[in-house]
Amino acid sequence: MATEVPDPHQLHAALQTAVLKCSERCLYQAAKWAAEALTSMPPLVPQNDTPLPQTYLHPTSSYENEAILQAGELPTYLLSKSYFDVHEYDRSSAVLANCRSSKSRFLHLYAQYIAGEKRRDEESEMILGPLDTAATQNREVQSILSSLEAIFTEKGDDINEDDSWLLYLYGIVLLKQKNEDEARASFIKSVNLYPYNWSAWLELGSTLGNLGDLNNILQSLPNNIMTNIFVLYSNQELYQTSDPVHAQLADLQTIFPTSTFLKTQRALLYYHAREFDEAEAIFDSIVKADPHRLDCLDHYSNILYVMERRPKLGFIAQLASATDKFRPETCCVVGNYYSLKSEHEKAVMYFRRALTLDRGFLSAWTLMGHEYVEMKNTHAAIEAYRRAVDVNRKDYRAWYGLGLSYEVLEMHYYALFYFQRAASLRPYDPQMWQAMGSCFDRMNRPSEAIKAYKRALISPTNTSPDTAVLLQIGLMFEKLNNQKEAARWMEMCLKEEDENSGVTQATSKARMWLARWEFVNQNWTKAAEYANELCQDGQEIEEAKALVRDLRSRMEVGKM
Amino acid sequence: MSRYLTSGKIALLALVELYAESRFPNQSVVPVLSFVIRHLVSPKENTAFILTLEHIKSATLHQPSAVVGRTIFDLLLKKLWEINSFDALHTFFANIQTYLIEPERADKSPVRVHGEKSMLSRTSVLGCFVRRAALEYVRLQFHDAVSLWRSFIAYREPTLAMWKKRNLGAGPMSFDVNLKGMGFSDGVVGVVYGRGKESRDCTVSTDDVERLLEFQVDSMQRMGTRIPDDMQAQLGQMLSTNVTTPALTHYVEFLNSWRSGDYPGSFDNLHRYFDYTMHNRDRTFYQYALLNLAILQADFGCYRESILAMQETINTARENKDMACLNFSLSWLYHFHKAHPQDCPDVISSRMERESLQFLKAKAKEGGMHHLQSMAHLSEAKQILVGGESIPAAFESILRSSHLNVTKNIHNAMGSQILLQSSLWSRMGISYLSWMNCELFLSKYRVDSPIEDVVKALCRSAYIMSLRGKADEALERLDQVDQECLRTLKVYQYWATYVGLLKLRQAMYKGDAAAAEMLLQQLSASPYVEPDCALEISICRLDLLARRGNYSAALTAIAQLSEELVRDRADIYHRIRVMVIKADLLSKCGRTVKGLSVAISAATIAWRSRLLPALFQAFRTIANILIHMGEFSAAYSMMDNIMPQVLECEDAYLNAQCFSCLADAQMGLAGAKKGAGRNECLHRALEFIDRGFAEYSRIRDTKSQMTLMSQKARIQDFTGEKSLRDDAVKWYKQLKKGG
Repeated sequence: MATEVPDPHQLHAALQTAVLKCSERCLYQAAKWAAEALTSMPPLVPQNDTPLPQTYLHPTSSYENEAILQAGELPTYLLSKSYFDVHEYDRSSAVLANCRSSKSRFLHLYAQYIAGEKRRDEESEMILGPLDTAATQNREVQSILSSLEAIFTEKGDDINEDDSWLLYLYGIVLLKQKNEDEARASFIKSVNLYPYNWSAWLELGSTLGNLGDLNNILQSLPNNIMTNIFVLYSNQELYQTSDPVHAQLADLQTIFPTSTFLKTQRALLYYHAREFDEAEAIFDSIVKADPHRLDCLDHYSNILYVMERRPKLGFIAQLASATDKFRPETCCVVGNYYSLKSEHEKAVMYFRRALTLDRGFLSAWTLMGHEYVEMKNTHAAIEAYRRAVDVNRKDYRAWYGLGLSYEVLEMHYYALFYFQRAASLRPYDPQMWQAMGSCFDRMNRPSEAIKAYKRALISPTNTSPDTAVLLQIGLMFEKLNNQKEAARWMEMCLKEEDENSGVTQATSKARMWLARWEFVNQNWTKAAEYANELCQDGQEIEEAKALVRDLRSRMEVGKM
Repeated sequence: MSRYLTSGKIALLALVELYAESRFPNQSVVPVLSFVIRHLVSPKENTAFILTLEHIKSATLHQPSAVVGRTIFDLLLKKLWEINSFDALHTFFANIQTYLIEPERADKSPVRVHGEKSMLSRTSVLGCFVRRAALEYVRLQFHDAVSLWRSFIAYREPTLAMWKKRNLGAGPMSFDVNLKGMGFSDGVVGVVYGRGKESRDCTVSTDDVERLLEFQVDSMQRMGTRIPDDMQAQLGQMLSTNVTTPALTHYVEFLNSWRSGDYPGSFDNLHRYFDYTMHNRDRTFYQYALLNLAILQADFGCYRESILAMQETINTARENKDMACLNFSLSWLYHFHKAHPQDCPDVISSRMERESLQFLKAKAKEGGMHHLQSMAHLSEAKQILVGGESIPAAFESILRSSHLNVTKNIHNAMGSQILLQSSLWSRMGISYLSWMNCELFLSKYRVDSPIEDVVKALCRSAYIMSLRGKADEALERLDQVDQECLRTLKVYQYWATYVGLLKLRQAMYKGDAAAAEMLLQQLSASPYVEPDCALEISICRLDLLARRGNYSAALTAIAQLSEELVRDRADIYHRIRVMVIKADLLSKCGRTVKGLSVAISAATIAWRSRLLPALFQAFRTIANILIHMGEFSAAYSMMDNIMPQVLECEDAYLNAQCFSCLADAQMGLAGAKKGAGRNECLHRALEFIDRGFAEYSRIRDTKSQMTLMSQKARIQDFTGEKSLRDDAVKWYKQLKKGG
C-alpha cells in the first residue's frame, strides 16, 4: 500500500483538532492516543505569519448548520459533559435529550451507552462464579440502535464529518448485537468521514477475523496516514510478521519518531515472531523513557515470562504496581510473576482482579486459563479460555489452550477443532500443527496426522526440522504399515541428530526403532551398530542391552 | 504495616539460615542463637522491640564464623546484600523453607554434623519462626511484599559502606540488580523507589505492636503503674503509621485512664475494647468484660453497681464453666464484702461468711491456682486478726501462704504477705520487727511487686518512724517515693493521706490548731481512704477536740465512731483503740467510774486478742483513773510492771504518757510519806518527768512538755533547789514563747 508522506503542519493541526474533538466527546482513549501521536512528531518550526492556530480554541464544525446548532446548544452541552466527567451518565444523557446537533446527539446516546455498560458491570456476578455466564447484556443497546437509525433515516445521504461519531457508535451497538458485517460497514463509513478517531479504527480492527477480511476492506479505506497505522496495527494483531510489515512500520516511524505506540507495535511483531531478545530490548527502552506507562506492559511480562527472567519480571511488577495497583495490566504482570514463581493460586487471584477491573481484558482470561491448567482444573481452564475467545477470536493461545485442555480430557475430536482454529491464526507455527498431528494420531487417522506433521516442519524461522516431528512422521508411516517409508523418516531423524540437534529422546527412540527394524529384517550387523550406539547415548540402555545380547547370541548362532 | 514480617525479621531469618548452613563454629552458636531467640520469644525488656542492624552488628561482629577471617556479621552482610532484587527476596523466603525437616522423615532424629547443612525441626523455636515467616510472606499481597522489600532496602542501606569494603563493585544503586547502569535521576528509579523517600512502613509489624501492648498491659496490670508520657507519645506515633490498630490498644487506654482516675474515659475505652474483640468467636470475653466493669465500678465508688456487675460475672462464668474467672470473682467479692459490708446486700453477706473462704481455698487448690490459694490463706489470717482470735492460727495461715509463695515462686503475692506480717507484729507491740519487715520488702521485693504494695510498705514504715518520734525523717522517706508511681490516682491518694496524717500529727503536737484544722479538713474531704487511715484521721479529730477542751463534742463524735465501727464489724483493734480513747475522755470529764469500767473491758479484750499497744494504752488509762482515785501504789506497780514492754512498742507518745503517769503515781506516793521516803519518791518522780519530757520533746508536743516542766518546777520548788527550779522555769518560758 502506498504511503504518501503528509504535510507535517497539516497533520499536526489535524491531530490537535482530533485530540480536542475526541475529548470533547468524552472518547478519552482516542484523545489520549491522538495526543500521544501528536507529541511523538518532531516539533514544528514555528511560523511567524500565522497567529494562534484556531485549533487551540473550541473546534467548531466546518458545516454551517451544525455550527449554528452547536453554538446554540453549547451551555447544555457543557453541562452534560461535566456530568459525564463526574460519572453521572444517566444525568448527562438526560440533559441532552432534546438537542439537535450531531455532537449533542452523539454525547446523549454515548452517555446512555456507557450508563448501560456500567449497569451491566454492576449486575454481572463474580468472575467465574456459579452465576457468571457472561450473558449479561447492555440493556440500552436496543434503544440506542433505534434512535440512531431514526437519525440516519432523517439525514439520508446528507452525512458529514460530524456524523462520523454517530456512525462509530452505531457500529459499536451493532457489534454488541453480533451484527459484524454491518458494524464493519458503519466503522468504515465513520473513518472515511473522519479518520482521526482512533477508537473507531480499533473497533474496526476488532471486527477483522483474519487476513482476508483485512484485504477485503483495504480498498474502501480513506487515503490517509491513519489508514497506514491501522493496517500496521491490524497486521500485528493478525500475527503478520513479514518484512513488508516491518518496512511499513519503519516508514511510519519517520513521521512519528518517538511514538511509544509504534515502538510497542514493533516489539509485539518481534514477540509474535518469537524473537524475544529484540522485543525485550524495545520494551526496556519504552519503560525507561516513560516509566509511568502501563499500556501493553502485560505483553512485556509475557515476554519476560517466556524468557524466565524472574528478577526483571519482579521489577516490572514492582514498577507497575507503584504506578497503579488497580489497572488490569498491573494485575496481569503481577499474576505472571506469581505464575513464574509457581504460585498459581496467587496468580489466579491477580488475574481475577484484572478481570474484575475489566471484563474484556483478553490476556487475563487466557493467562487464567493457563493457570488453571497448571492447577489441573481443566474445566475451569476451558471456561476461561472460552471467555478469552469470546472476547477476541484472534487469540491463538486461547484456542490452543482449549485444544490442550480437551486433549487432557481425551476429547480429541473437540480438541482437533480448536487446534485447527489456532493453526489458521498462526499458519507458520509448528507447535499448532504438531498438536494437530498428535490429535489425528490419537483418533487413528495417521494419514492426516502425517500431513499435519509435515506442515509442522515448515517454519519460517527455524530451518532445521524438529527431530520429534520426524520421529512422529516415521511412527505414523509405521501405523500405515509403510515400514520402508517409516525407516526413511527415522533415518532422516538420525541425520538431523548428527547435523544439528544432538542426542534427544526422539532420536534415541528413532534409533531404537531402526535397531528393531534391522533386527526384524535380520540385518544383524546394522542392528548391532544401532544398539551399541544406543548404549553409548545413555537412553533406553536396558532395552538396548537386551537387544545387544539377543543379537550376539543370534550372530553366534549364525556363525555356527 | 505488615502483620508480622519486618526488615529486622528478615535479618534474623538470614542469621538462622547461616546457622542452618553450619556457618557458626561451636563457640558462636550459643551467643548468636540466644540473641536470635531473645527477639523471637516475647521479650521482657522493652529495648528489644525494634531490632536494628546496629543491635545485630554488636551481637555478631565479634563472633568468628566457620570461614576463616570472617566474622558472622560479614557473612550476614553478604547474605543480606545477595538479596538484590524483589525476586531474590521472594526466592529467599522460598529457599529458607528447605532447611526444615520434611514431615515424612521426621521420625529419624537429625544428627548435627559439623560443616554439613543442618536441618531445623519443624516444631523447634527456629523451625516455627521459619515456618511462620514463610507463611506470612505467602499471605502478603503483592504490593505489601513490595513495601516490605522497600523497607528492607532502607534498613540495609546504612551497611553499604561496610559492604563496599568487601565488594568493590558495590555502589549506591546496587540495592537492586535491575537498576544496573541507571542513576538516581532515572525516571524508572523514581517511580519504583520514590525519589530518595524512604518508606518506614515495615519497621514495625502488627505482631511487634501487639507484643508491645501486651507488655504494657502486663506491667500495668501486674504493677499498677501508668505509662510514662514520652513512652505514650512514642506508642501513639507507632500506632499512627498503620491502619489496623490492634484492639489491645483500647485496653491499654482503658487501664491508663483508669489509673489516672478518668472514670468516663475508662468506661468508654473498656466498652470499646470489648466491642472490638467481640468478633473473636474462639473465646467469650463477656465475663471478663463484666469482671473488669465490676472492679472499675468499685474503684470509683459505685459499690452497688459493682456488686450487680460482679453477680452477673459469676453467673456468666458459671454458665461458661470458666473456673479461673469464677474463683477470681468469688475471691474479689469476698474481699469487697470485707471492705464494704454496708454496701453488700444481705444475700451476699450471708453467703460471704467463713464457709466461702474455705470454699475458695478448696477450689483454688483444686484448680492449681496458687496465687489465689495464697491470697485465700492471707485472707484467713486477716479474718482471724480482725476477729481478734488466736494469734498462732494467724501465724499458721501466714506461714502457709508464705510457703506457697516461696515454693511456687509467686513474686507478686509477697507484698501482701509481708505487709500482713508486719501489721501482725505491730499489733503485738513489737514495732522493730514490724518496721524491719517493711524495710525487707522494700529492699528485696520492690521490683516484682505491684506499686500499690510498695507504696503501702513505704507509708507503713514512715508511719512507724513517725511513732518513734522521727517525723521529719518519716516525711523525707515518703518523699523518696518514685514519682512515676504517684501517677496512679489510688496510689497517690493513699500516699497523700499518709503525708497529710504525719503533718497533721506534727501540727497537733506543736499546738498549731489552725494548721491542724486545715489539714484535717483536707484529709476528711478525700472520699476514698483505707479503713486504717480513716481511723487515724478520726482519732486525730478526737484528739484535737480534746486538746481544745471541747469534751462534749468529742464524746458525741466518739459515740458515733464506735457505732459505725460496730455496724461495719470493723477490726477489733480499731474498736479497742476507740474504747480506750473513750475511757480517757470519760476520766478527763470526771466520770471516772464509767471510764474505769470501759478501760477495764477494753483491756480484757485487748489481752485476749494480744493487742498489746492497745492493752498498754488501756492500762495507762486505768492507772490514771487509779491515781485520780488516790490508789497510787496500785497504779505505780501496774505501770512499773508493763514499762519494759511499753518501751518495746517504740511509741514515743505512749512512752511519754506512761512516764508522766508514773511520775504522777510517785508524786501521790510522796504525799503519803515523810522525810527520806518522800524525797526518794520526789526524785523518782523527777526522773520520770525527765524521761517523759525527753519522749515528748521527740515528738515536739509542746503543750505536754510545758505541763511536765511546770510539774518539775513545782517539785523543785518544793525540794528547794532554786537553781534547778529556775532552769525549769526558763525552759517553760522558752517553750511558751514557741520553742
